[in-house]
Amino acid sequence: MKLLIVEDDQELLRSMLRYFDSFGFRVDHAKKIQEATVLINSFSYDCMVLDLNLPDGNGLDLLNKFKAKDASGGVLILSANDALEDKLNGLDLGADDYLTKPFHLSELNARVRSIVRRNKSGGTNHLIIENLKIDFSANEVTVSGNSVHLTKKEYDLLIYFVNNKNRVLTKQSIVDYIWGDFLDQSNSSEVIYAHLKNLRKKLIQAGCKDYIKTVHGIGYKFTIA
Amino acid sequence: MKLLDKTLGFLLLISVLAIAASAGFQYYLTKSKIETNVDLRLKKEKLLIKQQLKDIQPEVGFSYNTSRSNVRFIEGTHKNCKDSIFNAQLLDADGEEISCRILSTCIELKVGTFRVEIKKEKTTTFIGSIFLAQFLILLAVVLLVILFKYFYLKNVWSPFFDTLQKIKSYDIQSQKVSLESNTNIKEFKELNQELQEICNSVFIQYQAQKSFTANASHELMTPITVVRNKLELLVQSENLGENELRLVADVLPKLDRIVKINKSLILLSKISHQHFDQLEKVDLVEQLGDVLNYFEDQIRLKNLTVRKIIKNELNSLMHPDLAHILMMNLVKNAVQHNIDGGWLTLSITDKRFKISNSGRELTNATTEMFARFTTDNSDSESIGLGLAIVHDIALSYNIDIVYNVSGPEHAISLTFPDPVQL
Repeated sequence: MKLLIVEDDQELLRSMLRYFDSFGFRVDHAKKIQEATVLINSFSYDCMVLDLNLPDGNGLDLLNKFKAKDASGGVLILSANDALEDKLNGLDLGADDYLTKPFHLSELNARVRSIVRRNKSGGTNHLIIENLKIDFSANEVTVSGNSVHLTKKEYDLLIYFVNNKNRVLTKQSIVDYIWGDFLDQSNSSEVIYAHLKNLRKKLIQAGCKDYIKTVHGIGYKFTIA
Repeated sequence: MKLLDKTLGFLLLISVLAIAASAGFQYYLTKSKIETNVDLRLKKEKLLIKQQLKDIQPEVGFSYNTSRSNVRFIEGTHKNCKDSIFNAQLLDADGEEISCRILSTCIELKVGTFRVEIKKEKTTTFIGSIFLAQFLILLAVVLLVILFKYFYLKNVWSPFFDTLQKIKSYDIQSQKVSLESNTNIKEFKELNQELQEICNSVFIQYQAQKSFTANASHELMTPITVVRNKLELLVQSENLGENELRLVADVLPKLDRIVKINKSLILLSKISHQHFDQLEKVDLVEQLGDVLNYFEDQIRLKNLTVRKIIKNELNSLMHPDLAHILMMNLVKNAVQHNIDGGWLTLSITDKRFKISNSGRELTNATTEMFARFTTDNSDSESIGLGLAIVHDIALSYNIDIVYNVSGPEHAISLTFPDPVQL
């Protein structure tokens, strides 16, 4: 997968590069609209992660250029403000998703992968881990060919885990990804635990290995040896 | 005590004292005038009696007595027999007491000395008249004072009361105040000018502080993201031991808390900046259903009994996101501060939405519950901004909001204004 990250904050950029690198993505980056324009004109990317507030202008201009060049490339907008106009503008102009700071790398990764998966034309759109198969286009999960019925939240949880396999996912990142802003912090752990328990139970009963491990005090990890 | 009443009270006191003094003075004056008059007549009478005595050539031992005078012969001569006039209370024929003035003197004739006493009734009815007159004057003064208050003082002070009213209803969040009034009284003009300046500078400072909060919160978002991302990368490291992981585990929730506070502060500042100006008709019953769905996990985990009493549909004209945030925060508050196995009741009647729940007894006053960073001590997880957000949203849409608590039962009532047709 080939990514372009346009972000002017050095440290933010480094963190994103490191996280995506660890998955073996090919990632280019730019800190200015000018630099990014050159890259867009020269190469093609599966997805662009775009910060809207750039030193030499508004990132929305870049979005137009990117989409004009290659309509199949996805765009995820990063912004410090969750202002509605920006969001609507961005999505209207063809951005595929929108993420506000402070985001989690794992969530960014999951969303970028979803975008790329959605925009992918033709070919297989599924993931196989041993006897576990996830069909993204049909939102279907099977273990050894047998369908497993998951609730929406359980399915979302599973997708989040497999997108970030072998990475520790913090509880807050899970909450933000599945529930958004309003979950009560005091019992968010219990809520996650309740859903994870059901998900693991359903998968194990269907004959799947228990991939989800607890990282004490921090969160969970989907481990594939 | 009210300003006008105080002014008038003093005025009345002065009037009463002045009238009392005037009454006393008049009494004294009239009385002495009357006495002088009576005394002159007594002296005339004495001359008359003297003349009569001379004319009738009385013998030794002559005396007579009338109701008005009393003449008695006295042996020997009395040199330097002087007139003396004094007051006395005597009884008249009907046995009623009358005030008299008596002239006691002696008249020397060749035959001997006569002791003469002449009395004259002294009128006292004037006293009543004086006091009646003064009382009427007092009444007139009181009446005048009242008229003065209602027709003059009120008018004179009206710019002041006008200013006072404006200052009372001044809301620093919503708008600037205009204290201009067409008064020609110098002091009131000055008062208005000074207050106007104070209000303007307070408003400017308030705005500056608000935008500072907003900017600061906003600027914090990028560094917070960096910290969050670095911590996320850190926990991926295979080299971390149990102790190191525990340190990170301690830090993560604190960072999440910072994020929450920051997001809430940004939201609050946006609400007060009227950032959300788009209006839509929002179906609150539908919103309520969505919100309850969102919290179903937590409601189940806490074993809460939820009752929904919807008597009618309720629509409100507001920004859909704010309507959502309003309902989310209300339900979240009721769930979060609930007790295990507690209850939660949501009711819609007419224009009123009421959410009540079981909970713990409050340590704070209910009026403080909408203040920022107010939390019930027992719950350290809460950042204390949820109800402040609810309050500010309600305020910006003229929704009347009341927090009631009776023991372990908490209730928040929102009364929505009549929806304006789009």
